[in-house]
Parts: sequence; C-alpha cells; structure tokens
Amino acid sequence: MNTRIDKEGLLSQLSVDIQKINDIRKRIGAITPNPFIMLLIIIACIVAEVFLLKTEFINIENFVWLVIFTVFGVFAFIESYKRKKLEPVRQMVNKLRAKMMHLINEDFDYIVDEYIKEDVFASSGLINKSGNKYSGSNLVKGKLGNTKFMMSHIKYEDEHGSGKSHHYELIFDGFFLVAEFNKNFKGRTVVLKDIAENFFGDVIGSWLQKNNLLNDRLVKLENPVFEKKFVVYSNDQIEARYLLSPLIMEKLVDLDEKYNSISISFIDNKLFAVLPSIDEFTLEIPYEELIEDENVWFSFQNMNNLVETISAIINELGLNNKLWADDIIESTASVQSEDFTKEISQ
Amino acid sequence: MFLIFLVLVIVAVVIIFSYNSLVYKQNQVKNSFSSIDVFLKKRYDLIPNLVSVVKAYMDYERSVLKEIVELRQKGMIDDISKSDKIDIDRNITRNIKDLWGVVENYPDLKANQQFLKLQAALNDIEDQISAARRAYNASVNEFNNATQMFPSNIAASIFGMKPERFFEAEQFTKEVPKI
Repeated sequence: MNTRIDKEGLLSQLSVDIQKINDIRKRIGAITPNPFIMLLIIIACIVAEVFLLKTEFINIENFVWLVIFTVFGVFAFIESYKRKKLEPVRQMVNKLRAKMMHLINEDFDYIVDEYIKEDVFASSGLINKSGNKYSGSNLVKGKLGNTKFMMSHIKYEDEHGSGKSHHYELIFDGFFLVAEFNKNFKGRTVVLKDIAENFFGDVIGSWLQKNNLLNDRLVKLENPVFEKKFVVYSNDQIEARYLLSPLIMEKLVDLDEKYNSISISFIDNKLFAVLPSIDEFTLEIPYEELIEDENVWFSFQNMNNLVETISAIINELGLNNKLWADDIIESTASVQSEDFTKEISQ
Repeated sequence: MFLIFLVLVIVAVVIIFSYNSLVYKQNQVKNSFSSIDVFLKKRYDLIPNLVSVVKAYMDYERSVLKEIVELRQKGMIDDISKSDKIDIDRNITRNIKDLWGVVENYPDLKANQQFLKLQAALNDIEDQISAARRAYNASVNEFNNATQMFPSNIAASIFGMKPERFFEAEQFTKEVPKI
C-alpha cells in the first residue's frame, strides 16, 4: 500500500488524465439551460397541453396538476439530457478513480459501477430485515497478504405501496466487506451491535437477546466492554470463542470506536463486515464542471481511508496469520506415537 | 386448606422447573468438558511429531521434551479425573511454552519448516483449547450461579448438586511464526 503520495505527487501523476477529462468537459460546453429559457420551455409546454386538452377537463385543480407534472417533466428531461451528455466524462472520471486506487495498491481493482451481489449480502446474517431495493457502487477487490477480499458500498431499502399507504425504509446504507479466511470453520457466528441491552437495560435486554428466535444461540463473552457494545449469536459456542479471542474482542472494540459502528459475522469460511457510510469514505469526484485538484485529492484521501479500514479489519482480526491445525496434523503425521516415546526416554 | 395445597403445588412446580434447569446446565458443563477433551486429544496427536523434529536439534535439553511426553502419556489414560485432566493440561501448556523459549537458542531448528508448521499448529490448537476452556467456564459459571441463587439453590441442595471447578489455565502467550 502506498500512502506516502502527497498532494503534489498525486496531481503530477494524474495531470495528463485530469487535463484530458477537462478538455472533453470543455468541448461539451454548458449543460444547464439558462433559467429564463427553462421558464419559457415550461410555459410553452403548458400552453401546448392546454390547447391539446378537451375544454371540459380544464378546471383549476387539473390545471395545477398539469403545471406540477410539466415542471417535473421538464426537469427530468434536462437531468437525463445532462447525464447523457456527461456520460463520456463520467467514464473517464471512473477510470481516473481506478488509477488512483492502483496508486494506493497496485493489486487492488476498483470498479465504480459494480458492487457485491445481493445473495452474498443476504448470506452475511448481518441484516435481519428484508427489503426490495438493492443497489451499490465502488467495488474494491484484491488480496491483502494471504487474504482475498471485496468491499463495496451498498444501499438496501424497502419500498412499497403508493399514496397514503406508501412505505419507505432505509435498511442499510454503508460499506460491506467480504474477506476469505485462509482457514476453515464450520459454524456461523454473528457479532451485532447491542441495541437491546443499551435500550432496555441489562436484565430485560439480556432476556430479549437470549430468547431471540431470529438468531442462533446467544454467546456470553467475558469482556464487559465488548459485551456492552456487541451481542454475539452462534451455532457453535466454542468456535465463537475461538474466533472471538480476548485479543480480537479488544480489537473489535477499538474498530467500533474508530469507525463509529461495525458489525461482523463469520460464516462459510468468510468474514463479513458492515460499516456505516461516513464522510471519510466519500469517493466521488464531481464532474459536472471542470475537475478540481482539491476534489481529486479529497477523493484520494478517502480511498486511503477505505483501504486502511480494510487493512485494519483484515490485519487486526488476524485473518492473515492463522493456520488450521487439522491440515498440519495430516501433513506432518509421519511419526507413530509408539516409536517416539522410546526414543525420547533414552 | 386450599391455600396450603396451592402453596405446595407452587413449591413443587418451582422445584421441578429449577431441577430441570439445573440438569440442563449441568449437561452443558459435561458437553463443554467433552469438547475440551477433543482438543486435548488433538494436541496429544501432535506431540509425537513435535518431539521427533525437535529432538534432533536439542541434544542437551531433552528434559523438557521428556516431561511433555510423560504428561501426554498421563493425559491419554482414559479414566483419569476431570481435575487431573485440568492439571495435566495446565502443565503441558506451561511446558510447551518453556519449549518455545528454549527453541530461541536453536536457530537451525527455528528455520526448520516442519517445526514452524508444528509450532503454528500447536499454537492454533492452544487457541482452540482456550476457546473450549472459555466455553466450559461460561457453562460452569451459569451452573454455579444456579446452584447458589434462589430458588434453584433449594433444588440444588435437595438433589446434591455442587458447584463445579473452573478450568483455570496458565496464560499462554505465544508468537505465531511466519511460514
């Protein structure tokens, strides 16, 4: 990971790309019409619509709706026109961002428009609610030490109905990390933020957690600070403690304090983690106007923050330095236990 | 009369529930200890390989290896008590820790890939044993609380259920070798 690049160094390495993007942007020219022209377009549309409508439909209420729909329609058209016009610039900015990620770590791939699949997100066990709108962006993938990982921004929402029965809920908006363990484990362990105990107090909260039918069995751990922040569910009490050693619990408390909120799970030989969307992870570079050096530098610093977070989770939780004893027992099982006792007691 | 009958029924129900809860918790303690046994067995399986690799390098410090081997032999006996198993585990953990200290004086051994793998495996098993100990202690804690808290302490004293011993292990600070 290269975190030593300073602002001047970065901008000098990217100056050609930034210049190219800005040249194209200049060629496209103005994309937002003059407000006066927009007003004229709206009036013209309304007049045309009034003429086209049958006279019996025209009353005050219908006219108000017609004006509202026309204004929205014109704005939507202009927005889509702007997007189409700026698409080549957007593509080039995305390439620029991928290049910036390569400067941080050349082994990492960064694809702005891609994200981790919904079934992987659902299999993490970190979100108990179900929604119907899943979207994302900013996929970063690669290998850190021995550990393969993927991280992307995810937005998960639930929206249904219309009018008065319209329901909208933002279930999750943040970053989602999947990292492969270089070891095997059979169980399923989920570490969630402790809401029940903090909200209802120790006794009622603990009872609710113990009798939570949505999750596996509650695991009560020895670290009181960890227990105050997190609640752990697992289908294997020993494996949960193996994965959440005293050191890992301390690291998780630190990570939680650093990133405000973190939940993790260990399922199917993978570590899953969710982090909230914070300003320090804002990676976008505005491109409606000319690209500004300050925005490029801001995005680069945030990319660094994101990569450091991935690295902190992978390294702090020891994903790189674990081995499975079973494999070694098999690979080194060359000595019969009867022989060696004699040799050693000579 | 009805009141006395009602009180007796309530007392009987409380004792039955308390007894069932105690039995459930006691079984959890037993299950947790069986899991520790599985991991201890895994460690015993690795010790012959470790000794075989190490003895070639450590001519003058065989006493450490000898003690590990003897403890292993004692630990492998089927009908030893839970208390003895806890003591043997504690001693093996301490001896292996001592061995890692002695190995520092043998650069050739430290560079041996087979040894490094075994050391990593033993450290990993120690992590598993430690997790199993913690799970066992959590079960013991829950059971012991139940034997001391009202009203389950009444059922515990009627049925002769006594608090279990915690599995206190030596702190095993280890260095995971780079392989």
